[in-house]
Amino acid sequence: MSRENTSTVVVLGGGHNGLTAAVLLAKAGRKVVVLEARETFGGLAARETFHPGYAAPGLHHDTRGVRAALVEELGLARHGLAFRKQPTKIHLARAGSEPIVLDALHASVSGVAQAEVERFAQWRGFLGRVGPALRAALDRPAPEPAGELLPLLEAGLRVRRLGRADMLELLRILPMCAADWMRDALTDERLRAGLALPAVEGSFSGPWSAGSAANLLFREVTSGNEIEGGAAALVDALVKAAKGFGAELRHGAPVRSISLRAGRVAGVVLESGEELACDSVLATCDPKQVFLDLIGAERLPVDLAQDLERVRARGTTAVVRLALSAPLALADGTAVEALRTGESLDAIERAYDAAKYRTVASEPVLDVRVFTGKPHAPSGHSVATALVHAAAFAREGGWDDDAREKLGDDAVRVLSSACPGLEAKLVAREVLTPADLSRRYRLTGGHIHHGEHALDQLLFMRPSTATARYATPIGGLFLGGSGSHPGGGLTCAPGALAAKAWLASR
Amino acid sequence: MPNATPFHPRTQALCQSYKWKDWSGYCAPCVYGMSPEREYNAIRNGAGLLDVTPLFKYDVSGKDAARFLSRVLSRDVRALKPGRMTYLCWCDDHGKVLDDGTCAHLGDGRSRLTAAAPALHWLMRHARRYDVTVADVSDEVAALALQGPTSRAILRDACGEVVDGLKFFGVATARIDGFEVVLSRTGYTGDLGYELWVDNAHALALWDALSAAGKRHNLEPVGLDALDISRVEAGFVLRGIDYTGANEALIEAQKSSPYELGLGWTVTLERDGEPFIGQAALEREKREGSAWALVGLDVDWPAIEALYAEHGLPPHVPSAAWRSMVPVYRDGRQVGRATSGTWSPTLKKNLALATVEASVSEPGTPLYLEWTVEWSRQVVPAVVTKTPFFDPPRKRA
Repeated sequence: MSRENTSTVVVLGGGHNGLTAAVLLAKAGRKVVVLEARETFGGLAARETFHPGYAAPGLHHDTRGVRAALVEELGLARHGLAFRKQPTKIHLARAGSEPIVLDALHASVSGVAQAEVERFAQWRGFLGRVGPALRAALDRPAPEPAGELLPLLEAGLRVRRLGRADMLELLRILPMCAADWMRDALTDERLRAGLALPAVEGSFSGPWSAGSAANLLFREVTSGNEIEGGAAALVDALVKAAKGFGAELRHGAPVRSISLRAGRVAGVVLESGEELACDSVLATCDPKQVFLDLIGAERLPVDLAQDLERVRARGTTAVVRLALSAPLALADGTAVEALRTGESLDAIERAYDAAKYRTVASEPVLDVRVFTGKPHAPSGHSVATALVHAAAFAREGGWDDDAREKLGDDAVRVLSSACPGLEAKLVAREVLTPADLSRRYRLTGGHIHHGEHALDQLLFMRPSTATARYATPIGGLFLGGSGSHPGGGLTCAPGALAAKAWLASR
Repeated sequence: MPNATPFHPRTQALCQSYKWKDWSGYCAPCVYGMSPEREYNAIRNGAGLLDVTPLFKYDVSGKDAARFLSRVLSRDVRALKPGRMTYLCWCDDHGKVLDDGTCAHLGDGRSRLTAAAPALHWLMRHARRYDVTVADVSDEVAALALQGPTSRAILRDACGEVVDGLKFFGVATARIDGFEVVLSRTGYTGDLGYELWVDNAHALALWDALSAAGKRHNLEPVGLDALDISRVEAGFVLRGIDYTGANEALIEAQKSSPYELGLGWTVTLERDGEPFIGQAALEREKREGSAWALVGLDVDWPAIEALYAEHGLPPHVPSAAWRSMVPVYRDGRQVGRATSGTWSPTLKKNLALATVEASVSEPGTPLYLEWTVEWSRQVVPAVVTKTPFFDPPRKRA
């Protein structure tokens, strides 16, 4: 093993977190090799042509969580990344009446009574006050677990600076369910459901599940401006930045295993049989895969293996992509950029119930993003990406073509009821069940966040207490994907924090 | 309430002392007569028959049995041939001993593990990742230890020439009066001896067959007191007495590694494939050295005589082995503790097993052992001695 080889950091996974880590490590002068199993970089954020002429800019379509400070630190503006000036308008469709329109930052709302607008403003006001303290906790390594929960919260979240009323409100909300919180804050059921929907995405929970409020809260306070051109634009900029700093990016390079020697990383073995000797691996694929598949439970310390086996990653989100010959429009002809279905909290809960009992919702709830015209589709045509709730990865009887087509039919039917005439515009569709997501993107359990966002799987417990601060008990092995704090979705945060932890360890 | 072993109808009838103790939930005779000396002498000069049914026994079978056992046990048993048994220990993640026992390859990919403490949960926790079946046969298989110089002759009379081919740590199947019994050339006495494993249904028939054959060869039923004397002479550690299983330790300091227990020779660090549980920690300890060492102590007899003489008493040692923690000193500083000891009737020596700081563990190192006479705590010289104290050639024959 040459010295040159051992000083290389091998980043597993060329998704947005892997690329983020690669940029920061290469920028610090380290030799970096990124190994991406697929032929394209970006993972769930990759641009994919799913029908000739129709490309969706990322399976994740919510770019609000990408941290502006990191974009700056990564120098992505130089590579063409720009934030949108005007947030996307999200339509909350409802049968037989005007839709509610929400901006993507959830900063303003229209289509509800004036009193509800004021209640919404009060709710936003609270988020605005607790936001900075929570963001501070979420954008740095999770605090070490020590002693009781309250001192931890006080130290980690700096809630004492909030004032008594907001601090107590925050402590009250954290273990709540999103539905109760929404019902406390707002009266319009359609608005409540529209706001709560993103919080249950990929979390094996419904709005009535305990802990869903924390999920909603963390999402809201970390939302910023969206990225122009969607997730794929972020990936394009990250790829250019990584190459610019000299990182070696390899695609079509799936990894079979991580080799250990005396409890430390010794290298990685590719599925091609190629071996790369290295003493550092920063893995951004999901943690269960890293430890249980790429290393193997039999090679791990017993407690570590058990902790990772216990991590819950039960996919509940499916994806439907539609190629349309026209923009997606409501009944009155209004073209929509984004749309959420699900008329009530109960409707979302019922959809989740199906996944809970290992089936598929026949009335799924959709979170849809539309990209119209070039470069996504031929001029005048559009592409719609829907995150579909809820479909169990572990569907009873397994997934087959019939089940996949039924899911696609149900999703299109639900969307058609909000957007009449949809079927006539449909050029093609692609349906990705959680099982398809698992295969295509190498996700344990088909889970888009690399592990559920549950109260016991966040902060210093993500993915497990021994691995929550990016370094792991395996010498030289770091985690830096969505399975690590602060979690899944497009943020760049786990990748950046992991790269910094790696640099700090040297 | 302790259970009766399948041999209870015989042991109960023979146990004139009425001294029983709870051994893993079974009642087991401490001594059959008034003193363990006669039974001890049977082990060393004739043969002793001991009910060891209370040992925990696990049968492991399936495609991955050897791989699985080698992951859990600190010894690599993948090379263990059918018809062989081996002594070993197993550790937690941190290389601290959970228990020690034996593993026998019974053939057809089936292995039997014996343990001093329940191990099923620990085994099952790891078994689910392997193609193996782990069966707890503790309550289904009865076991006898037949130990002593005449044990071979007794067994040959009882089951024929199968005994002749059975080497030290060999395992074979024999038939006695139409039922099957597994023989192993093993024991816990440091003498020539065998252990016999049989279905509960045939336990009494086995006892009777051995008793009948033993009539011509000075066979005595023996209890745990006599066993304890011989196992100290043989230098065998006892879980719960000489060390605390890592899963029962209350603090880190109560845990021990195999190296600290003198069981380093059973640890296979060099191996291909999966590491065993605790391997990384044990590699580190092997490299950096252990803090403690288990040693034998030869306790100075004239010094003990002198202590008793001060009180106008003749020297006295208990007829059974002792097992209380006793401080060990060097230059007035405590350097460890003796955990069990005995007067050795064969060697005519006062012996102890002790855990001491590694720096004072070289054979020949002079130490002091606390010795209490008439409620007065004194110390007597004790020299670090290689174990086993008693190691006759017939042990391996």
